[in-house]
Amino acid sequence: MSRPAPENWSTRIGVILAVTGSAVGLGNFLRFPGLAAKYDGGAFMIPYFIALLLLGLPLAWAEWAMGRHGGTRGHHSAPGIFRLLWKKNRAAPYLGVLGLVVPIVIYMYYVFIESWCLGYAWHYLTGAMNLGTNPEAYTQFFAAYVGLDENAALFSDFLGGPLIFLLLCIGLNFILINRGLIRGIELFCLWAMPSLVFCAILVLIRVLTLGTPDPAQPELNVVNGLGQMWNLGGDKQSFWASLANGKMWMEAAGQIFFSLSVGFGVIITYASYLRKDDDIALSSTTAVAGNEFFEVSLGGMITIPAAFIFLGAAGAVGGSFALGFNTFPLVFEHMPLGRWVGFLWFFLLFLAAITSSLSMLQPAIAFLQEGLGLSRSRAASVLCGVGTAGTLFVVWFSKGLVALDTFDFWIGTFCIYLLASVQTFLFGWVFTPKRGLEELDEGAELRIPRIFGFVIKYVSPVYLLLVFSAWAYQDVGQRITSFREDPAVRWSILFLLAVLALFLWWIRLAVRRWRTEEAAP
Amino acid sequence: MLASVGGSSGFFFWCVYRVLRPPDKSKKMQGFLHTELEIEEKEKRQNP
Repeated sequence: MSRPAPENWSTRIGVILAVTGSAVGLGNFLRFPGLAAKYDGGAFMIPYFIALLLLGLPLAWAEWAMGRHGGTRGHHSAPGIFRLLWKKNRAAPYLGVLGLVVPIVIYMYYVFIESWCLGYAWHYLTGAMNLGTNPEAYTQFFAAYVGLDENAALFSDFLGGPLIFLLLCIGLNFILINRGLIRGIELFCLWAMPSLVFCAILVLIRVLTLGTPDPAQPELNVVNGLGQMWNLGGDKQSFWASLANGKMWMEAAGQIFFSLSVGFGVIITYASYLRKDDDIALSSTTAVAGNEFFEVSLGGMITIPAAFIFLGAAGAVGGSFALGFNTFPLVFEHMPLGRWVGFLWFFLLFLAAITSSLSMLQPAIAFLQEGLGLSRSRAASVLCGVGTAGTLFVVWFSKGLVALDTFDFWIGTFCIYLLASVQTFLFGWVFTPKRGLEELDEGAELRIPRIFGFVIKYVSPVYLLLVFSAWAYQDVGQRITSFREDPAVRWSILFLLAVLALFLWWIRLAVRRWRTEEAAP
Repeated sequence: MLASVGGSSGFFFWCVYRVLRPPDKSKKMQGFLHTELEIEEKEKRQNP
């Protein structure tokens, strides 16, 4: 056997922080508060917590169980683990292609967003982010910063512009991933996650102590800001009307699903580096709880209240990018100590992003090591080459962020649903809940409720199918139209198909290699 | 707000407390061993 020497996490806290770091991202601080405010806060939290119980936690437990099961038998990548779980099906390892392509493609555009956070943090630190109180100035700055108006715009000022931060982020990801699981990912997360909490708490304290900054507008205060985020609406009727909104249920389930990083192919790989007698039940539950703490307790208390206090109800709305990169710099301009709070805010977003992007590289590195026999260093180099090519593609087609949006839709949303469905099927119907619960019980310090077996086998797949169908009904038609009309979308999809073909070819080589190894005396 | 933020924070800090608590090996569950014993006993009961 020429498999690489087995790696294991060195500490339990390390794996919990690494998984939590993978899950905590921009969605926790920007997408969740935007959605909760849009659907009257309190009403939104009901479908949100139901989705956590029926979809988020069961899928997370399933991924941890399958991952550790595969890891203790020598496999750390989705193709290897799926092949192990579903021995009778020769196509099983090829289904695992999703567990490689999803994280690496998301990395391609996520590292670009990560570089915006680092760049904005640097601008605040050096005092260069001084655009006054005109909202239009921030919108134009962001458009120029990401090349929103013209393709390849960022390449015109290669070293003086935002690309320098992109190169820094790519370099940092490469160095950390190349250092390995313990000296790279685990060590970095042990430092980065507490720093992230520290930055978030400082920003939270600043927001909660703002009081009523403008005496001429007494209604714009902290209490009303929190009310804007969490209140149910004027009366009970609006609460029940909100609850009857099917779209809210779909968006709440989608938020839980994407926020927890289930269906990304990351957790299954991270869990595969645990030992046979390591606890996974409590660790997985803690990672989920950690993500919820960042999302509900920190993200939910900072973003919308801060925007409301200075900009009113009209300013506290918008998508993730608009809220994070257009609205918030304007908020910091109005805020006492805004420059430093701005630095802390974008630095915390950068930390949230890099702990996620790091995790996206590990599944494919594990595969290249165990499937093609590459050393970690060579696997990291090959993967960073593929990843950087994709990132430059995204940066080139920057007009309207078309490539980023197309990658995010087809891989960061569509394929995640597919991978989660495959994993739910494998766990519920192939591995079976009985064996899954036994795996979860092995070394457990927390007893997973037995009803989880029923939920993952019957309830989660139906829930997933409903959310997926509603999402597809709403969005896929429009995407097909844009495919017909926009050449950049067609190029993006061709690029994705090329990446898919490359990984399928590598899986074919890996399967042959595994068969040869197994046939050897 | 109190229920959501309090619930999420409480759940998280309860988990952190459980993780940081000194490990008690005797309380660790034994999934496969436990189940194999159960299966053995069940088989004995069914085929005495």
